[in-house]
Amino acid sequence: MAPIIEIKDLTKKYGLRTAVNRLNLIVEEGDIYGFVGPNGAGKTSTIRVICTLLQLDGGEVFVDGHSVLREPRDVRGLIGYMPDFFGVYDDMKVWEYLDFFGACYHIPAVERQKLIEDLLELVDLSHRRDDMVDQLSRGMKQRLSLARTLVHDPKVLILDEPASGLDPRARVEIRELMRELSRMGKTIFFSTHILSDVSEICTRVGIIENGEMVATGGIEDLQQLVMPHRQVRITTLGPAESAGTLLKEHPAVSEIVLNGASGANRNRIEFEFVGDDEALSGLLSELIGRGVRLIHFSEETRDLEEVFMRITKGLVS
Amino acid sequence: MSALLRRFRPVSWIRENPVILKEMRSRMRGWRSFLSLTGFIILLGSFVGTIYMTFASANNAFPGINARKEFGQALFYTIYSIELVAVCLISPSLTAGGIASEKESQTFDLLRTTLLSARALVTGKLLAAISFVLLLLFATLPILSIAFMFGGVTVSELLVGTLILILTALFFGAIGLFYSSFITRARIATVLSQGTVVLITIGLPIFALMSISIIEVSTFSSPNSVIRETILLIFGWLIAIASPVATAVVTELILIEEQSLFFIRVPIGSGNGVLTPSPWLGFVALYPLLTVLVMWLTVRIVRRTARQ
Repeated sequence: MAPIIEIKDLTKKYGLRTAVNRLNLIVEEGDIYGFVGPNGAGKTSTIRVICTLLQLDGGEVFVDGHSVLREPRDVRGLIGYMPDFFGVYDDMKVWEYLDFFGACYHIPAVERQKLIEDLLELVDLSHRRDDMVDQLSRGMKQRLSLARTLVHDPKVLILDEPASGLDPRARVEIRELMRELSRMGKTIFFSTHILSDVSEICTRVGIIENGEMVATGGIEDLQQLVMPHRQVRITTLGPAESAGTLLKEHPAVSEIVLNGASGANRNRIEFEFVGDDEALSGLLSELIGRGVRLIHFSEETRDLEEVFMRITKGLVS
Repeated sequence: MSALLRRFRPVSWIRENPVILKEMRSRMRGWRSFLSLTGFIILLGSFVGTIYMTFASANNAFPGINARKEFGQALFYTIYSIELVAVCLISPSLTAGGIASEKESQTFDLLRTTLLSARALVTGKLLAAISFVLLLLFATLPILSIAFMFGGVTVSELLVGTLILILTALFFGAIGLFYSSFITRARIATVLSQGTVVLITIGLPIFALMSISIIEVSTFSSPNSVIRETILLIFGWLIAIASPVATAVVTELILIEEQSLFFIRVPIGSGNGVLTPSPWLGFVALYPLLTVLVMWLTVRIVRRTARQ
């Protein structure tokens, strides 16, 4: 996949404070990229630079090959930006809001009418078409805001904290919308604090702290990077001795805990394993080959929250 | 010319500027605009009624043509003065919140990531505000027409007066937008722009009168009266074209005294005098120029602010 957002050594300073320090990042076409970091990490500054709203102090940022510095107008046509606040025009109806922004992207009036209906249907706000914007709930405003980012059919959606301040239901709705937009071929780059959203919908993640990218990649890759030990649990039917012996001899296995009987003739063993999927699959074959009667073989899922906590505390280095 | 118009398509440019439509729609929504418009007309109507009663009782219901003309002129001057004051106060107030309110409601960033140019944003805000001022002026036409019924007022007076009003609205509106472009609070921008307007409309003529007195006193003993009179003429003319109030008053005085709308001959020394254009001609040249300059500055600031 071609990179659609490419950040090279981005630096942004506010006076003496460096908000973003030589940040490098690549978002590929079709990605749902979660940009995660604590408050003040430099997420919003990075997003504002990508969206041509902020001058950078060093480095280069490209969107679909267009420089945000030299071709800001081209970049604006390619991105749909949703800030972490909802810009409200109190005295506008829902359809007028979309119509106004459609006109700001020079979409002809004849096309706008149909476009507005389609967008409202997509974000499930058709029934609120003629309501005033300030009468909508926060979740609805966020959905309307998302519809606004789509009026000019951009390639990339850049969303700053899209689920911040929303109730659980509205959060799920926004998440589903993002999935739907990804299916429609949009690349989504979003910043968030909500790690469950990241692990559920992101294809790639970047973790930023103190203006520096501390980790980036697929969620699995990050988990592998931060926590190379995989926690595996097996259950045998009958005695677990042969399985225990094999595991003790295996170089990639450590921290074996025999949990004893876990039911009628069942024995549970937990252990840590270092290796990729291929190696883990090999271990399973070996166990079966040695005649171990396995009825359960599973890997404990590693929580992204734990990954995040370890990384942002500097445990990676 | 037609090729130029085809290229720039001013009508479709105005029609396609989304800011103009949005601002006009927002302004006319609800009761606020309707009430302010009605209030203004009632205020104007009551002034006209008071003047009518005063003249009617003093002149025994306008017995002669001169009394009717005097009444027509008094009516025109009153209505025009109120309109001029209204334009001076309303125009900057309507625009001073233009950009600042976008920042306050956090919509400025949204606009700056669209393809809407800073120029379209700024001119859209100005034209939308001016269109409301024009509506205000248009709504007073029926009251103004009463002055014509009585006579004493010419069409050229009305046209020149209207031109001064429109150009004043544009320039003072541009001043409001200028402050709005770099001040984040709409209220502060309004106060500053109205202060500037007061300085131009009232401060400048007062300053001029004081300066003229000083020049007259300091050059009283000068043997060369031609130089003194020339300095006074140039200075006075420049001040007369800088303030819309001074322009309107001096233009009208020249019209009454000299019966000339365009040029007068001002006697200097013992010669034939200098052919001097009526102040409104200078005003018509100066104010659009100043408007363009202030708008250009505003667009530059908006562009710069957008990427800070």
